[in-house]
Amino acid sequence: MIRWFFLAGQLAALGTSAAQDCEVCHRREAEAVTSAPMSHALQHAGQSELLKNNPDLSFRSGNFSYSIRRENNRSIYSVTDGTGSISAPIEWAFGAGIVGQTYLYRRDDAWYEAAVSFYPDLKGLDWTPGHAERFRRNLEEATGRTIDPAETRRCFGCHSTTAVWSGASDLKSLTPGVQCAQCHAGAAQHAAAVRRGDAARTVMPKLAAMETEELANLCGKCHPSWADIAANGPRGVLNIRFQFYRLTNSRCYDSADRRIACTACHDPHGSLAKDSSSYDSKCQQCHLAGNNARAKLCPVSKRDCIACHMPKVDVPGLHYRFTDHQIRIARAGDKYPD
Amino acid sequence: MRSVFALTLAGLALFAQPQSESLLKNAITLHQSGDYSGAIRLYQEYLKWRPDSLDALSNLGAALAHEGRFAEAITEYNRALKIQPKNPQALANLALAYYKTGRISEAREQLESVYPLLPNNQQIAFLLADCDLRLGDYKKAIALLDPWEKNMPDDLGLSYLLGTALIRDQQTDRGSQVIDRILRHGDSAEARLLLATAKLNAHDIPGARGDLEKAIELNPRLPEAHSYLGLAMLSAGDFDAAATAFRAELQIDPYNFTAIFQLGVLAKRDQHFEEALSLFERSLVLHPRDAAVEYQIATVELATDQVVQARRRLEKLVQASPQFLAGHVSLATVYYRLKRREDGDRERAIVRQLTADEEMKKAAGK
Repeated sequence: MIRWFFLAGQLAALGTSAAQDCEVCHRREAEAVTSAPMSHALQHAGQSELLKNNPDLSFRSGNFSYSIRRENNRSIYSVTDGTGSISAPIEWAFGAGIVGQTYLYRRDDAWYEAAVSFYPDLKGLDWTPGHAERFRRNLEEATGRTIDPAETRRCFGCHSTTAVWSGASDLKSLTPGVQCAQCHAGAAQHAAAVRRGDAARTVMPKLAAMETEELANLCGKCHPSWADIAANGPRGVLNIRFQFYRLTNSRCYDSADRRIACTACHDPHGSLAKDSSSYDSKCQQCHLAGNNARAKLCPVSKRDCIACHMPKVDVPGLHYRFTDHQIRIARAGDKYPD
Repeated sequence: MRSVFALTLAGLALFAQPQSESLLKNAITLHQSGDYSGAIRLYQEYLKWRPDSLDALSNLGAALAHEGRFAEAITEYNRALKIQPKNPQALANLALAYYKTGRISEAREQLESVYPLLPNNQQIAFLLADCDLRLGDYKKAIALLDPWEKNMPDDLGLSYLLGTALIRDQQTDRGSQVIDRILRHGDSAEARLLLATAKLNAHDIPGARGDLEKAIELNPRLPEAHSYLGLAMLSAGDFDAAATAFRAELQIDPYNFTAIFQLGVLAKRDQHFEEALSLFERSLVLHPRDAAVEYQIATVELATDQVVQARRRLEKLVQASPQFLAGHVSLATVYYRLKRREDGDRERAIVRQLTADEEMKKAAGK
């Protein structure tokens, strides 16, 4: 813990990537970002509200019992097979906790992903995705999965901003969560130039001017892109989580039309709109008389489009109903289209 | 393999030219006594007098190969074959030199030429089948080995080759019969490797891992056991262990395609692009024009912003292998990056069609 307080001090001194640096000029966006789930995609375990509010979690499978218990400001992850046990303080909580939250801990200088995650729908623990099928021949294997340096960097690379590494997998500094500089490359230089009164020399690229595919590639750095899923899978219902892959499979997807780009429906600075009717105006950008000759008009309703055309789908083991971004006429009993 | 070399030694001949007769005689004597460097020197001296001597060229190649100087041996065998293109000894030795240097497709080419000339030569048949296996041409290996199996059903080496081909070709029932035949001779590293291969095919990763660890315990130098362990560890998501296993394989066989290729994929994953490219280039020497390797090189080019180069490579790749899904996926991405939207859309439509075809095939197979 001492170590992380020290790092937090360093970050404040650097003043590089957090929303506060941008707030001076971009107040609306910076304020929105602060409360958006993406900016809480990574939290120190000591600060995780989920862990604070659930101080005694347990899970059992076969011979192995799992627990996460709060002790002072720490959450201790323990696994026992009845004869031995392994315990480690959780260092990082990944995920804002809308779908779930996964935990990383360190042992012998290596990073590990805990075998169990927290799922709000269950209000408890279950297998971390991918762990149900793993080897569990002994306590070591049952406790968690080693994350090699490349994967560690990818995890922190998406869930934090401006992570700085020392050696293969030692974190030197980072800003938890997705902050401005994660999408706006060069934000630190821009902020510094503004402070020097030299803003004109570091004009930021206009992300809003990006074409649909360019934008998809930008978001796709962390939300797997169409190419990632098309080439490597998964096939079937497990790919529901990969929104851009699903979206491109929609009949109405047009790579030249910005009305179907990620940001046409989602405000990257804000929270996810939960009210399905709030998306109607987005659909009607095309599906409204006079807006697009090729877009059909819905004979059933002009409201709550996504409730029918982007059905919610359960994914086994993830305890969450994901919105299918493959926009379509979904009929009851239809096979999941892939 | 030694017996293939013996083909050449059996062909040693004495020559009539009086001024060079003693030179060649001495070369052959040194060669037969195991003084290969001395023999090489004398053969080279003799060839200054008789540059077209088939036997001297062939013997020189064999001596060079014994010294591990395979590149020079290949040159000498090729010179011999210019004089007599169907010379079985030179063809077989050239094939073996290619095989030893991991140039498997070139080895196979030579073996396919020599096998009809020596159809009863077991070593040539088995070496050719091994090349087919290494190049992933399992059906060809099975067709080649089937007639041999009828005549020598108890030969362990043959059973192992045939079993490997059957299991990798997903002919599980017949493959299992061959494995049973091998297991009747007791537990062996080879049998464990075959069992593990079958389990990997069936996605039984823990089972495969157990058999591979046992195979390595029984014979730590068994070719391909470490490489398959690497594949099992990759499937289990343990990339460090996979890399260690692939490196162990290369200690045994520096030309193992799977190990070199997968280490390249792992290097690319770690963004060590130069190392990845060098490993992929080595993979291409072993499997020329291999679609998976070409694809990996294109993805490195893409990752390092060489978009036009990546486009050219991918266009060639999908033209040669139109069913290669990942190639079309990357090509679509490249076209979008180059703002060639219509081409991108076309490639994306091909990807959808290929994916649907694959799903239909799977559904039909169930």
